[in-house]
Amino acid sequence: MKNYSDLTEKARRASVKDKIEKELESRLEQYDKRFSSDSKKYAFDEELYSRTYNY
Amino acid sequence: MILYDLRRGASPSYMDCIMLPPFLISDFSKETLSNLVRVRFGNEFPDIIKKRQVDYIFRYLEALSAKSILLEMDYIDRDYLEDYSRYYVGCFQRYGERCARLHFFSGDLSHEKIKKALSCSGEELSELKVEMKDGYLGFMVVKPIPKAFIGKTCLKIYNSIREDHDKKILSKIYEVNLFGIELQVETIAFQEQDKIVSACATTAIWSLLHAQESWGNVVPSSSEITLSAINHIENSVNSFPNSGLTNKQIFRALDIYGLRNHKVKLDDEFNPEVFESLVKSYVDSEMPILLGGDIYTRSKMNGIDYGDWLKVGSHAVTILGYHQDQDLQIYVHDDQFGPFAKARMSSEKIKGVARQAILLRHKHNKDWSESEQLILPTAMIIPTQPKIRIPFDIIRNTCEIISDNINVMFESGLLSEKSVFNIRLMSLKEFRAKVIGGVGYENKYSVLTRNLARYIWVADFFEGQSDEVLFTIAFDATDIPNGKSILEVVVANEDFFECIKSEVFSKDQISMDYSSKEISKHFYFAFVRFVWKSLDSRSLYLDNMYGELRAPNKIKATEVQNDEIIETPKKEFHGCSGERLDYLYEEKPSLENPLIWAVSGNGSLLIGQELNGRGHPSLTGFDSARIAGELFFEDGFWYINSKSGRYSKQYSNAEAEVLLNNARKRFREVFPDDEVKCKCYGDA
Repeated sequence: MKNYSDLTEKARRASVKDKIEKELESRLEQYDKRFSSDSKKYAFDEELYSRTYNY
Repeated sequence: MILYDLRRGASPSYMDCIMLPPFLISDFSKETLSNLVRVRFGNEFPDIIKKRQVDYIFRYLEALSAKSILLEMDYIDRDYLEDYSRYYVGCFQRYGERCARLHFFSGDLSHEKIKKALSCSGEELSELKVEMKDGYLGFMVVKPIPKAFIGKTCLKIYNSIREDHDKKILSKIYEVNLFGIELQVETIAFQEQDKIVSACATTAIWSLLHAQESWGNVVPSSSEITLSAINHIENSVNSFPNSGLTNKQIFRALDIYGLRNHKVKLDDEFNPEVFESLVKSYVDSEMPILLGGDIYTRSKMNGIDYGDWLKVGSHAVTILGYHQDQDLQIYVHDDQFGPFAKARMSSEKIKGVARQAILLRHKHNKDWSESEQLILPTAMIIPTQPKIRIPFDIIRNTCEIISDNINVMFESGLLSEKSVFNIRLMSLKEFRAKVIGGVGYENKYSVLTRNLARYIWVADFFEGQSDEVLFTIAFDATDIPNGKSILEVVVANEDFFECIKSEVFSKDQISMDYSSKEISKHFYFAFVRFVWKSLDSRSLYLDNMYGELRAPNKIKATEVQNDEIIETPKKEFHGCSGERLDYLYEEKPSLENPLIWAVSGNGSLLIGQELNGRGHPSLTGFDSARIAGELFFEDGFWYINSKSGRYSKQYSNAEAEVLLNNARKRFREVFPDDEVKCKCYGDA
């Protein structure tokens, strides 16, 4: 098993928490926009419902 | 003319007349395979040997080192019999209701050997059984109809697929009985469309139902699937021949068979990475996928290939596996080729269609080479159990945010590789099997003993390509999209998880949750809440402080009277009492005649007297408690010990010492003006 015993300390020294919290709000907005657009993009439309597989 | 009719699977009385042998055997070759089909049903030899599916099946079996073929002359195939009764029986031409079956073996077989072995019951029969069982490669039903004669075909999966961790393929065991000899083949059934009761979509659904593990019933025949699909759909014509099914009709068929569906549109803007993650996750979840798309073939001008492609129709195939190579390759049942045909996503846009496409491949000299056809995918349909309501995309979105946050540590140089995750759907039984077999899970006990949802999306997180799972999130697949959905977080590496809990998913982030007014496309905040809630929960705190709840391990006869629980007089304290033990119990209890105490399930402190042999269970009213013991006054101080055969016995001395000290603190919270000391076992 890989040893991560000093990871918390290193993360604190590197101010990981601050970096994440500073950007998280704007990143979450971007995620929401992308996920909403993806969910529309990947949703079936009437044309696709009617597509026939006949090969 | 009569002979022709007989060959087309005519009734057994006719067959008896011409005395066809029960079986024929040939060495394995493309010519002998084609000839056995010809011998049985009189198809034209060139029509058989030139058939693309025959060529594919021959090459597939060649790669399995097939050596002999046995033609079972008279075989009743349930699928074909249903199709026959729905359509072929009404034809003027006599097509017959009986099929034949070709069995393939990797060993040498001969008529004499089989005849001799089946005529006796001794060693020869046992030897034959072992030989046939070990060398069995599968079968192909031959239907008594011209051209589209390939019925249910079950061929063994290549060993190379089973043994390679980068390859995953769905399969199940098919039992075969050949002249009383029990054989098995692990695969998923394939058949070609007959262009009458089924087109490509029907055969794709048929293979899909074969591969859908949770499908407990008998898989319907092609004609039944087609009828289910076209009934009750606007503009549908309830008749055969059937030339194809629409997506709507496919959904209708799945509805009829009690299956829910997840569906994804794949248009010009689709992301091949999304396709890849969908294929891997669903196949890893033992769920087959119906892939629909436009099929293109190479367009040649005067025999010269200019690299252009020409659309020839819309096609449906069943995805049953994948090979994670540099590019993702998929295994499909394609009724235009054969079972487990390999295909790969093109790494760049294809000239003439301006999109990335799935390039079909065909078997060539035991290897795979590019075919002359490609599919531009338009839709993926995944049948699921009706209870599975949360689609894959919400889970993937959540894992993507979690992974991106962890990757801030990678970008800061604290991790050597990026965080990656994989997602699978599991039943509760499979999830528990994973946890119980897992190594290093910190909260294994609490995960295994909790009641969870029947279906669970399970996301494992890793650092890079390492096999070592760092933590696993279990999502309730039966929940609603705006529900909480996180069932469990199973921690495999405590140091890693403690770090990300405090530094990556800090509690302050919960205040950013603004998604309550709309249905969320991810469960990120539910995850952060869960991480903090689960570790801060009161019951967990009480478990850690005073031990887990235990029922009294025995009840004395004196503690029950006339079938009623006898409770002793007691006082219950939830917080600071504002009183003193000295005043409450002016007549000081001694070690020989002590008071008794217990910490209840909700953390309250119970104190009472042991009267007439009624001990701790009478104090708690037979309820569960965490730790219990005695309270007495000695040398000017109040003492507690953990002497309770019914509640404290399960603790080791070391555990009891810790819990007793915590109980002492609880006494001090309730009676802050009294000095209470611990007296452990072994103390003088």
